[in-house]
Amino acid sequence: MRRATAAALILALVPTLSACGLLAPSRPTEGPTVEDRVTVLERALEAEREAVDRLRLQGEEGRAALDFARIIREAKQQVFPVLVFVKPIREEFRGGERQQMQVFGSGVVISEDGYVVTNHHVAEKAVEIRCVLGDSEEVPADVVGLDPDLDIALLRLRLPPERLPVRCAAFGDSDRLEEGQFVMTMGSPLGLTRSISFGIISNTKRYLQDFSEYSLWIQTDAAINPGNSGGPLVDARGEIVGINTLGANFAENVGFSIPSNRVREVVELLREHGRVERAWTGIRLQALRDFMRSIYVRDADRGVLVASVDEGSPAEAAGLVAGDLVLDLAGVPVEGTYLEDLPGVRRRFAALAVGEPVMVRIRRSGEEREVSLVPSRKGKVEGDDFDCIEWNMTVKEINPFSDPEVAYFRQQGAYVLGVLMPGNAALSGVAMGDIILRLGERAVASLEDVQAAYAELDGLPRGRRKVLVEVLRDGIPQLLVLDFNKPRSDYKEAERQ
Amino acid sequence: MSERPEVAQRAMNPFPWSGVLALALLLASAPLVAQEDPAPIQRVRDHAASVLWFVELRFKRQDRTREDRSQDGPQDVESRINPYAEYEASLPLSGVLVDSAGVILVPDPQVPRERVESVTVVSPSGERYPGRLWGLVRHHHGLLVSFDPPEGAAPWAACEFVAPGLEGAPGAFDGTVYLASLGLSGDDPSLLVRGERLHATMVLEGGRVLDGFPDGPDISSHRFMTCWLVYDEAARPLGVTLSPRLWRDPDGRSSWLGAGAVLDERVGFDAVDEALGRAERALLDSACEVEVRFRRDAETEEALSRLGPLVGTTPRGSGQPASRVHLYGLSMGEGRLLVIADLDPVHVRAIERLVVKVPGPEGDPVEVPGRFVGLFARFGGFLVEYAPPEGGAPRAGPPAAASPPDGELLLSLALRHRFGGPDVEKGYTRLDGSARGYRDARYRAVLGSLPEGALLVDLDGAWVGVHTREKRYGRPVNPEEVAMGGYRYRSSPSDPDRLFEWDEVWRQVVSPEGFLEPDVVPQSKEESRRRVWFGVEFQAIGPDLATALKVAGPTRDGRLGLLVDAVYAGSPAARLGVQRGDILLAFGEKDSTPVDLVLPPDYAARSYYRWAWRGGRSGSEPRRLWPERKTFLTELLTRMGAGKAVSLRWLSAGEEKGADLVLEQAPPDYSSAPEVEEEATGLTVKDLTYEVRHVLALADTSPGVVVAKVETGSGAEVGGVRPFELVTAVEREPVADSAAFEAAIAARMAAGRRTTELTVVLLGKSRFVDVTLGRVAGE
Repeated sequence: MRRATAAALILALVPTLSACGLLAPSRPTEGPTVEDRVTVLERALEAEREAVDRLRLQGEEGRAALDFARIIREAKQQVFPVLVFVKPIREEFRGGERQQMQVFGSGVVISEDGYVVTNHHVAEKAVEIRCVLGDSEEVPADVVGLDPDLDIALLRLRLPPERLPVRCAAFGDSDRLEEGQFVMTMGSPLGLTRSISFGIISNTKRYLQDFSEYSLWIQTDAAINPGNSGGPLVDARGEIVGINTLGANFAENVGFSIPSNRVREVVELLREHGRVERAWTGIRLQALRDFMRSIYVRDADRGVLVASVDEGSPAEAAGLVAGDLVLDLAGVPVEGTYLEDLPGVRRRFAALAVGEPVMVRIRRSGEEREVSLVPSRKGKVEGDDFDCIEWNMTVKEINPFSDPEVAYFRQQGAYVLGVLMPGNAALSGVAMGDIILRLGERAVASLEDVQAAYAELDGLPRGRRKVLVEVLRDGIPQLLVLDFNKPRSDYKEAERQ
Repeated sequence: MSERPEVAQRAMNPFPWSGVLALALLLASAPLVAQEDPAPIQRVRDHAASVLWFVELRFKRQDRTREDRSQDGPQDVESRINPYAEYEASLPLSGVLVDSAGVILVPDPQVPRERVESVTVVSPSGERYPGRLWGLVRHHHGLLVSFDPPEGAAPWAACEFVAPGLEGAPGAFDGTVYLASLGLSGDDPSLLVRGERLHATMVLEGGRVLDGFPDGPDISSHRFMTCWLVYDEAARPLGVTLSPRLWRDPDGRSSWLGAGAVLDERVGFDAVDEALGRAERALLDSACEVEVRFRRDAETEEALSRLGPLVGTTPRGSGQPASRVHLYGLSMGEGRLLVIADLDPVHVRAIERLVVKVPGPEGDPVEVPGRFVGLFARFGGFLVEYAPPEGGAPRAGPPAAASPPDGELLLSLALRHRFGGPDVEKGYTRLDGSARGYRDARYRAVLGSLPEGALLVDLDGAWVGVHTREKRYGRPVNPEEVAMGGYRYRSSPSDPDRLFEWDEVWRQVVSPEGFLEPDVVPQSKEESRRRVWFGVEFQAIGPDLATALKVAGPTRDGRLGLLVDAVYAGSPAARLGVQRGDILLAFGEKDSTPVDLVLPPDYAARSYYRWAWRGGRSGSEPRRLWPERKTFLTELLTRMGAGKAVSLRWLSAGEEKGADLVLEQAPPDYSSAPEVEEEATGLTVKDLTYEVRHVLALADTSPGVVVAKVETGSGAEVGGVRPFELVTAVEREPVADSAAFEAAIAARMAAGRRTTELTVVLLGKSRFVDVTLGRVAGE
């Protein structure tokens, strides 16, 4: 499950990484020079030429493939005009303190009515988004839809009707990509707008543990740096074949883009509904052959292994258990031999109709049988925050997808996301990660309960502003008294926890 | 360490004190004197003035390196001498000329001879002559200084004492004596004469001094060591006394000496050295080296650092680990050794091995294993047994026939391990009265200070006793110390060392039952982590919470009491019906004051920081989610000991309750459970202990083990198994505990399998992991 705070891979650029700070000296100077790359490409080009001759490719495509300078120029002409520099102002609550910061990312206009695709981690929690189009214009934009699971956000430029239709870019077919193919990344690395980098496709079906719930990745050695998030991966034809999302720390020339076919599926749904509804079954899958960890399921050559079944899930209700081998879903065989197959399988499960029973054929202890599975709605994948300002504390709704450890102890409710130190909550003994069980007389089973209690307690007169709190801390309940007599403004130069 | 304050004061301030006080004292004594016939006192004054001399000692200034300092003798000797050495001042003593051929008796300052640079004697008329240290007085703590009188008749006379005799019953008299001593007022000698009416000075019984003479002449006005001339009513000199006490026992021994007695009792320094040499050899013959190996881990590390230099740690750079300590045991015959070393129970529990090096027939030591018998409860020492090869070491001793009288010259020997072998620190001392020790035990006080663990031997080689820490065992447990983690069974550093006479020690060595600390024996790592439990998780209360819960009164505003947060099923607490929300107030041992459960003020804060650090999303690594069971309460109860009958007071729903219970050994918890290292998978696993099950909400019967460690490069590591995950099955067959896990893997290894499948669970989610079995011994 991807999280915006995946430190290794975040690419939304925060203004502290200003251009002057991060340029040149800190970047290692070893690596291929332009001349080296040209040589490599020329050799590749030679190979291409021979291949083309062999295949007797004719026409536009053949000629384009032979002139890489033209490739770049033409692609650039297609996409550059519709490249967007996305500048959201993100508002977060840290320890009960509202914090706003400017983040940078990239995006691309994908429809004539001004829809822009970018990453979810660029646009999330934005209170305002401005987009810079071309060189010449800043246009505000609104969030149309967010899909955290795939890390895609859909924005719409706020353009007056006379400006429409606008130029847009077209999606390519990411399924037809091949390793070695030329691609370009376009975007605003480090805030340097309208930058192009080029390279090849290193891998078309990359599986990243914890980041490949519903999609594989395109790996490229074209530069993807902080600021490139949400920008397009462009092929030789000038079509968008991916949305650049991740880069690797401590590595060079290793970046990842979301395949455009996945993006396209989701964009439609975001446009219609503002979100992507997925079905949830509570099955965790394991591939039959995991080469990373040398884990091989011996007695199976097709299907996918059920690694675990969540408690209280539709899968549990259907009678599935860990160790079952899923062979068919709704009569269609399931392929889960390799890690790379898993996102596809998960997409199939996610696409099931909520509430409608579906037959699943499984093998258990050598015997095949069918079970009836009724998927439920996946719902939110991350809980909302609530800022208890006077308590110098932020709470968050417990969500099993984004907070599995907290959810292990309590499936529903609210927990302390952060406390300001020093601050009222911290000094009263509240700790980050505490699950709130009671506030005063009120039992807490949801974020709304916290909000209601907070509102009520805010009315207490100064000198009597204390509340008995019961929290669950690592499975053991604790009692403490939260004293918030001191106004929060007293904690001026405080550090964030 | 019966340091007399006035001595210490002198050491700190070598400069003479103001003359005003001396004058005041003289005036103060004047009214008393005025009532008497002035003539005797004038005669006393004149006589004393003519026979009292000064002796000045100058000390060598030493530039000593750090290593030299590490071999210092008793610290306070150094602190006494160093100011004189540093400031190049003289230590002044005053005494009486006992032989006109040039012998002066002064009180023995007990300074090491090798530090004395020069001795100067100063006559009553002020002439200065070089002198030398000549000898010690055997039965009184006096030092004899000799000098060469110049050619020609000496203008001064030695003190002629009349035959000893004070009227009255032996040891008690009622009459007037005059005491005179010489002091310094400014730079001028001032003679202080007091007339004292002495009543019932001493009550003697069996030759031992039972009661002191507390109102001895006030010599604090003299800022240095001095002796007192004793005159009778008729101003006749009776003798000289070296301590502010006057007594005479039925055998005719008295605390004052006549000149003849002084010279008769002289022991030359060479004789002292010879006696020390003999005693040293006897000691080395009867001592065996005992090498103690301690188990080093996080818990013992701190305790071992407290062992200190006194137990003879190996010198730096020797290459030996600090966990090995060399001590010396005194042979008690038949394979028994008494080791005088002040170990804590924590140290004892960490003992891994004892090796006794018995002197062999050809002189080469033979190593035999030693068995720890027990730690003495009253004094700092322990007993070791071994199988003596061919007779073993000769017995230490023989013991002194009787307790030596005060002032008797005694040799002190402290056996240490230095530079790879035994090294004896030699010195001498005297006894000086008696004192009250723990539980009113009377013991002989030693003049000056001795190295810890020193043996005292008389000049004939008979063993008088050992000087070691007196343990004040049985103090009520101090909860604050427990909470600070610093609680120790043994006496606190403020409890003094004292002399344990040989027969007292011998009795305890011969039949140690009843004299040893119960349940203090070496333990394995797991055993040492076993705890005594009550079965609750608790928290501090504090004033706000006490008010909110309406228990401010009984908990003294939240300062007292442990609020129960959770009760473990099947625990003593559960059986007593203690529930969440109850407040534990006190645990009481029978015949002992109850221990109020008071957490130190920052206990809550410390716990908070512990939690806070662990809280939050720290990444994808599995966390240890269950609490540490070494808590204030378990530490407290463990100190009290399993099997002890105690009573508990607690508050439940506003009502105070009480109950008796017997403290129980806790079941293993995560820290104390044994680790099972399974080599083929590379996993070190532990059983699912009670607190793990409680926190993870696992039934008592649910199978599985916790992964404690994953060996790098092992099949388990490659497969992605991480610490704190659970392994619940091997090839889909549940494993009940670590023994079952080990057996399951062993069975597969025996069947020649190269891989196996484990079911690994994290936060309730399972997955299957293939693990390559390998890394057997020898590969």
